[in-house]
Parts: sequence; structure tokens; C-alpha cells
Amino acid sequence: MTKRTNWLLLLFCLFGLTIALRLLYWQVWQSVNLSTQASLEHTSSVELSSGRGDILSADNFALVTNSLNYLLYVDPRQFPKTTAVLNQMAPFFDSTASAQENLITAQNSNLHWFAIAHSLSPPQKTGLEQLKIPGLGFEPEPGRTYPEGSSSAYLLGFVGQNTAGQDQGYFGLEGFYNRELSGRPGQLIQEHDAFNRPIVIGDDYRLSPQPGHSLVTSIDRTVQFTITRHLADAISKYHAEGGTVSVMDPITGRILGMASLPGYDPANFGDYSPDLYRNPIISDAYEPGSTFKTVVMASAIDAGVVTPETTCPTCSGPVTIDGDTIVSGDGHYYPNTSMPDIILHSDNIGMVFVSRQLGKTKMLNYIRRFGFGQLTGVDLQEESSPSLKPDDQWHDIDWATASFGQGVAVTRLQMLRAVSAIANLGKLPTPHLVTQIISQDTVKNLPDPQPQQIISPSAASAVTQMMIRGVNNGEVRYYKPSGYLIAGKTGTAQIPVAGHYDPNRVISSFIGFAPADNPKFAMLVTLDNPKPSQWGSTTAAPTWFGIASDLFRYFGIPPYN
Amino acid sequence: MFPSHMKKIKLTLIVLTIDALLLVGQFALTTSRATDGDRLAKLNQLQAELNDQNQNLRLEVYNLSSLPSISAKASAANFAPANTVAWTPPPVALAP
Repeated sequence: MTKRTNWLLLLFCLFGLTIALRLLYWQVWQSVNLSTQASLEHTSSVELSSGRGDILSADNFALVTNSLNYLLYVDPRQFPKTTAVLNQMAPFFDSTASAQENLITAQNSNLHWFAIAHSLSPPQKTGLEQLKIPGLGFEPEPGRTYPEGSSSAYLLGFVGQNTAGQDQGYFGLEGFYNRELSGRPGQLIQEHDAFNRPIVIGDDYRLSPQPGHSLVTSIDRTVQFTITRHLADAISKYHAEGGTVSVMDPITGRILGMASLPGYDPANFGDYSPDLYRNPIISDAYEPGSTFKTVVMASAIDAGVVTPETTCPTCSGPVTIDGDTIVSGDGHYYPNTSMPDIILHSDNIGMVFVSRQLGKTKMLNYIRRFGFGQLTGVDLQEESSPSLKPDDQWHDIDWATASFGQGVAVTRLQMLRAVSAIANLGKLPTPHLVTQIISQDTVKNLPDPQPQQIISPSAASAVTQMMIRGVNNGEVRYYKPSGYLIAGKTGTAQIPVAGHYDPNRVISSFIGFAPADNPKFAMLVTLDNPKPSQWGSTTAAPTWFGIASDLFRYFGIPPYN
Repeated sequence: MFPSHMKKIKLTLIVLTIDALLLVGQFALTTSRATDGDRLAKLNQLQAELNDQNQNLRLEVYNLSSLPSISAKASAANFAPANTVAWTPPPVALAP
């Protein structure tokens, strides 16, 4: 009896020990895992969206802001397989073809989830919901919207996703100011019941989101709209392959507008070739042609090697340098021509004389002083600068042709900046866009960068007078709005291809500023390969003057007589 | 013996009553809190909806006051772009 009792006692003890060990296992050994699992079941962690900052125009109008769009998906098992449903839904899609194709594919699919269309607006979502078609579903899809359309695409850039799946700005202001525009997302950890309702007396933890900063830019949306409209008209009128217009305040360096066509829609950037993403005004090199003569002439006058009264003794015919012959662009030669007449007639031979007077070293120094061969410092992400050759690699023929803008590569913004220095009495401005950064409770004003004096005010004034004379008496005088003082210069640059110039393609341009005695804006218009006329004086110049007329009216600048 | 037994019964009844009261109290409290949670969830949802509406209205205002939209409406209403004409008076008075 005692023995059996002992066995029973032992059995109970073992049983108790087993239970105790098992309890120890769950309570101690697995306690962290179980707590975590329990916590996951009754707590939820929600990321609180921080919201990307807006990009505003000079009048605080949103050029880019956040929008809540929706992804439309269907559950093919529930979605009706009839054409009547497709017809019902068709009016709600912008790109009907793509969405309709997806719907047809979904009807023949056995999947549980099929994406149909991205970026549906709230009204589109509401309209589709009201159809009460089974199997339709929506997922929020935060995005960026562009109230002024795609005209500022090259200034703004776009927002895509990086390799970690996070939003990131690419190109333009979105790329340059990505850190400022991106906010810091918050987090809400909250206990909830079986119906996913928050438990009021439960524990919760909230990390408030920090919204991104908004940028106030110098972009004037009226200027931007005006130049985009004129550029589109010019491309159509002159059958050009593309074109650009950039407008800058030459005193402060503030960019007022910048347009380039063909462009892309930043809201649907994925539908366009990546080749179109880069802003050609700040990243594409071109040979400026005769517009560059203003820079070389200003340099020579500043160096004191020529004056407006100097005459050219070598301008009666072609010039031969190192075996290469330089001829006049239009076949005309002007013996003993004066410096203003060299600009008026856009005389290549006269510019060779000027460059010879200036000398290679001085000329290259001045070219660098005008900002060529280096970044302008504009606050746009993809800016690049064609490099200038080292001084010892410039042969005589190179600096002779560079004097009239051939054999030297620049960006359009570098060219506009250089002419702005002439408008600004010799002070080189730094182009920029952002004037204020606005956070939740502070406004940070960004002062205009101080311009650097690169040539004397008298040299700048002398070249300005030559440019005014060129506009008033040159071929472009027929297009000039009467009563206004405008300083400008045409350019028709050939395009280098594989060691020679393309005989059939040119970039026509006109650069200038107005009113010349108190400049309000400097502007560069370029047209790629216009037809039938390829001359800047008959294509880019009329476009420039057309835009200028509208800007005079917009800025309230009256004619002087 | 008898009074002691009565005391036990009384004590049991008191404990049972307290238990019942606490149970009812807990039930009332949890119901109240659950209702608060439900209200809070509904208010959160309403707040999200209002935020969406606010955002959509803001975008509608932007779209309606954007220059391309105004320009399109002006063209549809047969307005033409303004054209500035500068009149230059003759330099000397002309005799009739």
C-alpha cells in the first residue's frame, strides 16, 4: 500500500513538475514572444503622413501641391464579365484605352487582385463608387498635382520613389530642395478592440509628423504662362524641332520664368522618355553663335584695347589663320568698320579683329570671368557646365572663331547670365529661384546673392548702346515694339556633329534686355532648327519681341515716347 | 454554533453582493468606454473625410484660378489677347 502510494505521489510530483516547467517555459522563456504577439493583436501602428511641402510662385500660388488620388483595382472573381460594365465605366477614365485594356484583361483573369488605373481623382472615385459594380476597390495613392499645368515642369522636377520605396524629388526644385520639402512622418501606436475601435483607457504613443517646408519661388506665373504660349506658337509657326525661353531679373538674378518644349508632364513622368527630364536650359551645351559677340566686345572695351570709336583695318575681306579662312556670315565685308557697326552687322571679321586686339590670355580670362566653364549656381538639381579647354590647348583659330561664338560651348543659362551682367552695369548676378522657405512656424527669407563686378560700368554701358543700335537699325527693327528701348543681339549657331558642323541644322537665338536704360528683365529665346528661315533675326527675334510686348504691358512699363 | 453559521451566511451574502455590484460596475464602465472608443473611431473617420474634402476644395480653387484655366474660359467667351499699340505723336505741329 505504501509502495503504491509512493508511486502515486511520485507520479503527481512529476505531473506537477511538468506543469511547472511548462508554465516556466510559457511565462518566462516565451514571455517576450507572447507579449509581442499579444501586442500585435491588440495594438496598431499607423504611420502619420507628414506631407511634402508645396512649391509656390512669387504670388504664393501653388505650382505644386499634394493631392490624394486613388488606385482602382478589381477582384476578378467578383467583377462582372460583361461589356456593359466596361461601357458604364469608360467615361470615368482619362486614358480610356489603357484602363479599358486592363479591365478586359482582369475579366479573363483568375487573380484575386488586379490593378486597373492609377491616380484617379476623388470625383472619378465617387462616380465609379456610385455605379455599385461588384469587385471594384480603391486604395489611397498620395501624389503631387500641378495646378498651372506642365509648363513649369523643367523648373519643378517631379517626385518618384527611391530604391527604398520612399518618395524622393528628382530634377529641378524637387530634386535640389528634396531635404527641405520632405517632411518627417509621425507614428501612432494605439490599442484597439476586436472591431478595430481604439480603446480609450489603453496605452497609446504618438509621434507627431513634421510636415515638409514649402518654397516660395521667384517664378511669376504670368510670365511663365506668357513665355510658354509664345514658345509653342513660335515652334508651330517656324516649324522648329523645339525651343526654349528663359527670363531673368538681371539686377537680382531671380528667374522669372523658364520654358522648354517639347516637355513632359511631371504628374505622369513615367509616360515620357527619361531623355526629356533634364532641363536643356541648364544642362545642354550649345554654341551661342553671334550672341557671344556681346561678351567679347564688352571684354575688349573693359580691357581698354578697343573703344566705340576704334575702326577695324583688317575688315575688308576674309581672314586666314593657321591655314583656315574665316569669312563673313552673309558675304558682306565692311572696310574700316567701327565697333558699334561690328555689332550692328554681326561682323565675324570685325570680331576676329577685336579678339586679336584683346589677346588669347585676356580673352579666356574674361570668358571665365563672365561665368563660362563653371556652374551658375542656380538652385536646380541637374545643372551642368561644359568645360573650357585649358589655355594651352586653344589654337589661334580657336580663339578667333570663339570671338563670334563658334567652337565654344555654353549653356543657355550661362549665356543669359553673362548678358545680364552687361544689363547690370558689369555686375554678374547669380541666377536663383527660391526666395523664402516656409516651415510650420517660421519664414526664412533667402537674400539675393551679391553680384560680382566683372567689367566696368562704362564698358557695360558702351556695349548696351551698341546692342540698342543693333536693335534699332538692324534687320530686327521691323519686329521691335515701337517706343521701347531694347538692347539685343541675334544669333544663328551651327550645330557641331562628329568633328564638323551640320550643314542643315542650326540653333537660332535672340538675347537681350529691356528697358535698356532700367532693365526689368533679360531674356533668351532659342529655336532648334526653324524653317524655312534659319536666321535668328527672322525667327527668334520676333518671338522675343512678341513676349517683350506682353511683358511690358504686364509690368506696366510705358513706351518712352 | 448557530450564530457563527449565520455570520458565515451573512458574510457570504455581503461578498456576493459586492461581487455582483462590482461586476455590474465593470460592465457599465467597459460599455461606457467602448462607446467612447466607438465615438472616437467615428470622429477620426470624420476628421479624415473633412481633411480630404478640404484638400479637394483647395485643389478645385487652385484649378479654377490657374492661368491656363482662366485663359481657356476667356477664349471660350471670345475674349482676345490684348494688343498694345504705341502712338508716336508727330515731332512738330502740322498745319491744317
